[in-house]
Amino acid sequence: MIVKAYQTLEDKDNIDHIETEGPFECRRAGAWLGFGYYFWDTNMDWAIAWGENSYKTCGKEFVVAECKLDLTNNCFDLVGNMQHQIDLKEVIEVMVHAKKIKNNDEAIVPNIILFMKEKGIFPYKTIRSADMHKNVMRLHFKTGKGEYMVINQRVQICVIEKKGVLLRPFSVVYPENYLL
Amino acid sequence: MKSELANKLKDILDNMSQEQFDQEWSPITALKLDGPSFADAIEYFSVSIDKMGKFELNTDIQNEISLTTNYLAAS
Repeated sequence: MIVKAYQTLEDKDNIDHIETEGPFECRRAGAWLGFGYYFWDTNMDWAIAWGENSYKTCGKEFVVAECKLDLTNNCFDLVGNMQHQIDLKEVIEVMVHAKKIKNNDEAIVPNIILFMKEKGIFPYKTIRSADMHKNVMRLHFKTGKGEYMVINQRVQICVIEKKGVLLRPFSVVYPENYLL
Repeated sequence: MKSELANKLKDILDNMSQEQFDQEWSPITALKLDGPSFADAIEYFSVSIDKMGKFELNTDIQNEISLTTNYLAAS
């Protein structure tokens, strides 16, 4: 599966640098799938909304750059692959049962992913995960019933290894005045 | 039967002393990453009866189709 992917970046009036050197790795503590290159999957509106809610509120401008990602091989897909969700649950259970983590605050998902990477048993180059917001749209199957379909999902892709995944060009596509 | 990933992790942990684990875990926690807890992840990835919606069988339809199928229709 090849998808369009978007990265939201601060506009420092350096579009050429962004397009040649980007995408850029996230190494913040909030990188909840571990360090990597974070993208919004397919729907550029989420990338723009992220810019509006993060950069703009701090008085900064932002751009959105687009590329394509090849997720055909080695994607740990927590959105579209139910087995991968079960895999994640099982590795967490294994870690819990091993009782080796002394501090409960350290028992978090990014730590176990990083541990598996360090031990060379996490074979995936990308992680795809829904990053839902509380206001996510729920399309109810029937009025008054509890069942609903989650639509317009906000999906993130964390690229751990670019080789074989990132398909250039990496081009700034927003705001429109940067389009020539 | 656990997944291949879980089995590999179990093998590693089974063959690691606590001291060795602490040494390798320490640089990871030093990064002070944020993310969902194991407890939340296990809860949300698990299926339980109370997470299921309650359905009422549509007996009108059921009476019509019960001769030919085992499928239970819900309204």
